[in-house]
Order: sequence, then C-alpha cells, then structure tokens
Amino acid sequence: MKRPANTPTITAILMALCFFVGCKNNPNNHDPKGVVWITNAQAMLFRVGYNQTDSFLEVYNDPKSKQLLGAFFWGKSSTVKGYQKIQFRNKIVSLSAIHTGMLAELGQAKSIVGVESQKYIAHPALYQSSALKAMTELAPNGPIIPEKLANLQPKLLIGYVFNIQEKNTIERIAKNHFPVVWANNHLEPHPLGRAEWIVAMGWLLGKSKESTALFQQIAKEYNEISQKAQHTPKPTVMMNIPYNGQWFVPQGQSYMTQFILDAGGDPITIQGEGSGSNMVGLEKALQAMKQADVWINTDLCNTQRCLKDMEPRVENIKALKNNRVYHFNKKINPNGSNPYWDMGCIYPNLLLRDIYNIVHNTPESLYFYDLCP
Amino acid sequence: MQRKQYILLATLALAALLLVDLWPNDLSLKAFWGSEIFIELRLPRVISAMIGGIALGWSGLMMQTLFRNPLAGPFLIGITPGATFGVALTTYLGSSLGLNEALSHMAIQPLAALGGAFLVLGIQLALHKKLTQMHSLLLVGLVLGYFFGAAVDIITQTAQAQQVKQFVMWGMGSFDRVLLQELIPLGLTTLAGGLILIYHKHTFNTYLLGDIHVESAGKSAKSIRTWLILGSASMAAVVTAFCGPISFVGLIAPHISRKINGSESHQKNIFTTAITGASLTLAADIIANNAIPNSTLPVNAILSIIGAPLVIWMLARKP
Repeated sequence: MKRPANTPTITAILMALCFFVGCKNNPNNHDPKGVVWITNAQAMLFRVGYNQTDSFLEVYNDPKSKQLLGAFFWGKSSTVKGYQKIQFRNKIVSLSAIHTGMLAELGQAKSIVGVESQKYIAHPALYQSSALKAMTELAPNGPIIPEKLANLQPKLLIGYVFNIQEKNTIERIAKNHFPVVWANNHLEPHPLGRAEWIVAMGWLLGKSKESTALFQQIAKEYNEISQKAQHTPKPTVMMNIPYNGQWFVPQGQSYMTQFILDAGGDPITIQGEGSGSNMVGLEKALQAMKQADVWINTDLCNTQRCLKDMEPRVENIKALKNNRVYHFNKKINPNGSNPYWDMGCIYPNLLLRDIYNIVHNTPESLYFYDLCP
Repeated sequence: MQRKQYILLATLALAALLLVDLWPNDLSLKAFWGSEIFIELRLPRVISAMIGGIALGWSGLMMQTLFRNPLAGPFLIGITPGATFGVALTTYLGSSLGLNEALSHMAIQPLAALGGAFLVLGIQLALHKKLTQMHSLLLVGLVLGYFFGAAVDIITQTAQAQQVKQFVMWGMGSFDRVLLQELIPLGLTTLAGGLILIYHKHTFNTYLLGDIHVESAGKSAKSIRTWLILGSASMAAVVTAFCGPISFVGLIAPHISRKINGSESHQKNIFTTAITGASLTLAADIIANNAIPNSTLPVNAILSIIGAPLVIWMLARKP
C-alpha cells in the first residue's frame, strides 16, 4: 500500500522555497521608514523616494519580471537595511553612451573617468572634447577589460546588463570597492520612459531638481506633439532595411512603433504584440510594406541607390517611388558615432518632432533625419 | 521495397515539396502565379533552394569520395570558413573605410564569399600535389577552418554593431536574398559540377578503392583529385556566396542516397543525391517560412534540427 503524502511537510517546504525565492528577488521587503516614492511619468525600471533623512533609488531588471537589481541611498543615515550608500559622485565609470550623454547634459562630464568606448559617444558636448579624450576606454573592441576597470579604481559605476557574464565580472571587481548601478533604460518600452532615466542620473549626481525640470520640459514638448498628431490623417510608415533577404520588422509595442503612433502615423508591424522585432522573409515583408507611404530608418543607406543596390526588389515600394524615404544619419560624425542613438534617447521630443514632420510631409527642418536622395 | 520504388517515392516527395513551397499563402492560385511576388520573390527563393540542395549534395558526394571519408563536407575542407572570412572582411572594410554605402551593394557579398572560398580552394589545390596522405589534406582543411574562424572572430570584435548584424544575418543562411538573375551562375556552376560527376563517375568509383587502383587503370590519381576538389569546392563556394553557409546538406544527402541505393556507386548516387539534397533544402525552406506565422526562421537552424536526428537515426538503424 502506498504511503499517503505528508501534506503539511510538503506545504512547509513549498512555503519556505517561495519565501527564499521571494526574498532573493526582492531583498527590500520593507520600504525604509516614512519613505515617499515619486511616481514616474513613464519609466518602469527605477523609482526614487525620500524620507526625512535620506533619499533612495531602486533599479529593476526588466518590465516583465521587475526584479530588483540594486537599491541605493544617500543622506544623513550611515546605513539603511537593504540599501547601499552612495558616498562619492566623482570618478564615475559610465558604460553606455546614453548614460554618458545624460551625465554630460547635467554638467558632470568631468566626473566621468571611464567609458565603454569613445567611438560610440556622439553627444555634441563630448564628441572631440578634451574631457572625452581623458576618459579611459574600458571595452574599446568588445567585452570589458577587467584589469583596466580594477586599475581605474572608480567610485561609482553606471552600467547596463548586456550579458550575465559581464555583469558578474563587473560585480566581482566592484565588491567592497564601489557601487554598481544597473541602469537598464534601454528596456523601457516608451520613449519618455527611456528619457526619464535622466531623473535617476540626476539623483545619483545630487541634481534631482535640475534633472526633473529637464525631463518635465522634454515630456511637455513630446506630449504636445503627440496630442497634435491625434487629429491628423494616419499615413502608413515602414521601418528598417532587409539584410540578406531577411527584414527585422518591429512589433506592435516596440520603441520605434510608439514614436510613429505618437507622431500620428500608422506603423507597419507584422505582429501586434511584443516589444521586439520579427525576422521576416522578404516575400512576407514586401507584401506588407509595398503600399507604405513613408519609409524611415534605412540604417546604413543614405541614398535610394544604396537601398536598391542592397535589395533591388524594394524599388516598387510606394514610399520609394514617391521619394518619401528618410535616413537617420544626418548628424553622423566622421568616426561613425551618431547622435541619433544617444541624443535621440535623451531628447525623444526632438526625435518625435522629426518623425511628425516626416509622417505629415513637412520635412523642412529635420534634426536627426534627412531625405534619401 | 525495391531500389526503383524508393527512387520513385523520393522523386514524388521532391515534387510534392516543390509544389508546397510554390503554393500561394494568401492570394488565389491564378492571381499569385502571374504576380510580381511570385516571379520576383517566390520563384527565385524556391529554385535557389532546389539548386542549392542539389549542388551541396553533389559537393558532399565528391568530397566524401575525395577523402574516402563519409564525414567530409564543405565545412571540413575550409570552403565555408573561407567564404565567411571573405564576407566578414568586406563588412569590416566597409565599416573602417567609410565605404558602407559602396559595400552594401548586393553583388559585393557573393563576390567576397567567392573570393574567400576560392582562396581556400587555391591553397588546397596547391598543397594536394605535395601532400601524399589524404588525411594531411583533411588536416589542412581543418587548420584553415580554425585560422579563418579566428580571423572572423577578430573582425567581428572590431566591427560596428550594424556591420555585425549584417554579417550575422548572412551566416544564418537564406534563400530569400537570391535574385532571379543570380540563378544563372548558381545553375551553371551546379551543371558544371554535375557534368564532372557524370563524366568521371567510373573513375571516381575506382578512386574509392585506392590510388593504386586508379593508377593501374591508367589514370592519374592526382588529376582525379584535382577534378574532385575543383567540382566540389566550386559548387559549395557558389551556394555559400549566394545563400550563405548552408550546413548539413552536403554531409547527409550522400548518406541518405547510399542508404536508398545500398551502394557506393557514383552512377547510382548522382541522381538520388540530387533528389535528397533538393528535398532537404526545400523542406527546410517550407518550415522556415511557415512554422511561425509572423516570422521567418533561419534555414541553417532548421537544417541542423532536421539533419542531426536524421543522421543519428540512420546510423543507429540496422543495415
């Protein structure tokens, strides 16, 4: 005869497991005493809060799991349970060109001692500046060089989780030496959510007031354009270019799709759900895009000739026939760095204004974009 | 089942696959077959998949004969790594010399791939006269594969993200990118390779028995090897150039063919290898384009997923 299962024991084990997993995912089960968390406009992966003595920053992994990646504080208290104290705001290592650009926007470029690679930084205040040249390149051609990071002895590192091995390497070097803030703003689904991370950067630099004011201005302009666009006709907009017969078509909730929707366009997406993109064969892609009114983000191609050389079968696309194809390389620097990537993320209002003008066929004063002749 | 029945069944399977792959997805049959989509996109894709399968199957058959080794294939003698190196190098030059626009031309990648593949072919042809042992030639291929693989790693490490994307997409293999006019060099090279196979089929059978048998039949083993290298490498190089590196077909199509025929004889295996190779690539193309409604899967991944269990099953099965 089978022995009956020991239900209470199994339940207790399951509960202990749940407790353990839950604690591991979110070590801060209890908020600091009297903390008031500020509600973000769009950002989902960080939150800033204050109590009478200290201020707090929590950063999260991704919008789906919202697993806590780090919790920090600064202020009068010497310790707060579950939070790491930020003591220094100089000697910063910034591993993303976007974060570096944000720090520069807040006037703290001189505090940066190390970057991933100088060649990705296109921010006008930094590109070709002496400040940039003084920064150590920690990953000039690929993964981060651990010895370089250790030798640099930074006081704060702002990074983004690209792969788990690199994350582990950095955390191993940082342990007991400097705090690491994982700023996954690239995973924010909304353009304003990505831009709102300047508030988190402002918190780190002790410039919360300035950064919040800057973001509010950006959001105001963005929302004005977006509201204006809601009452206009909706031209169809296609994006990207084919590589070897395959086209990366953005999904319905992707970052670029959101820009087009907010600009009053009708984005061509093959799959409505999801925030990534689908790899689609040329036949399916061209069937969907043949009647597109506008074509944007032609990647490396700045001319229609280039597009046709790359894939001759695009020549029958309506947007190409009507000369409504736009690339984002207008401000590209001689070294290949492009402000579209960093400034476009910090100032989505500028990017939205460009897309609005392109979509509604008033492309007189574009900032990032230009017509493919 | 008799051999002839097997061959008939395989031919019917190929015809069915061809029809399924050509069948319209959304449009009516009449509207589709006269349409631009059919002529410009579907037809080149399906025909290139078929020719690519035949070429790789024959290339594998010739390489397995050359090395008298059933494990030989375009990857093993360095042809695919050579072609990959050619594409990676052009991509890098485009990035570092600011020639992105010029090098984005569709013809550049196939030419670069051909250049890389023929570089390896040249090295192999130059060396095979000096190397008396066949396993030395195989080792040279492997070493070249490692060398070019390492060079590609260094290149991709230094290239920009968009170039890496372009290069990675090429590496996944695709029949979608082939243009109607590109079917001509693809088809002609395959035809030339097929003619070499047909013309030398008896000598290739003798070669399988050893060099001494070839020499005693009054032929030169080195000259046979030259034909085998030239034919197999050219077909593999052209397919890799136009469709990217397509794995597994060259390795397993000759195996399936030999199972069907129960013989190593080239006269029997030429036709069945072609049918098997074409069926594999067409099946992969159908799955790649239809398995997930709003996406296209990489052909190479599909072929490996089909190919690996097939090879294991064939090896485990009693003769």
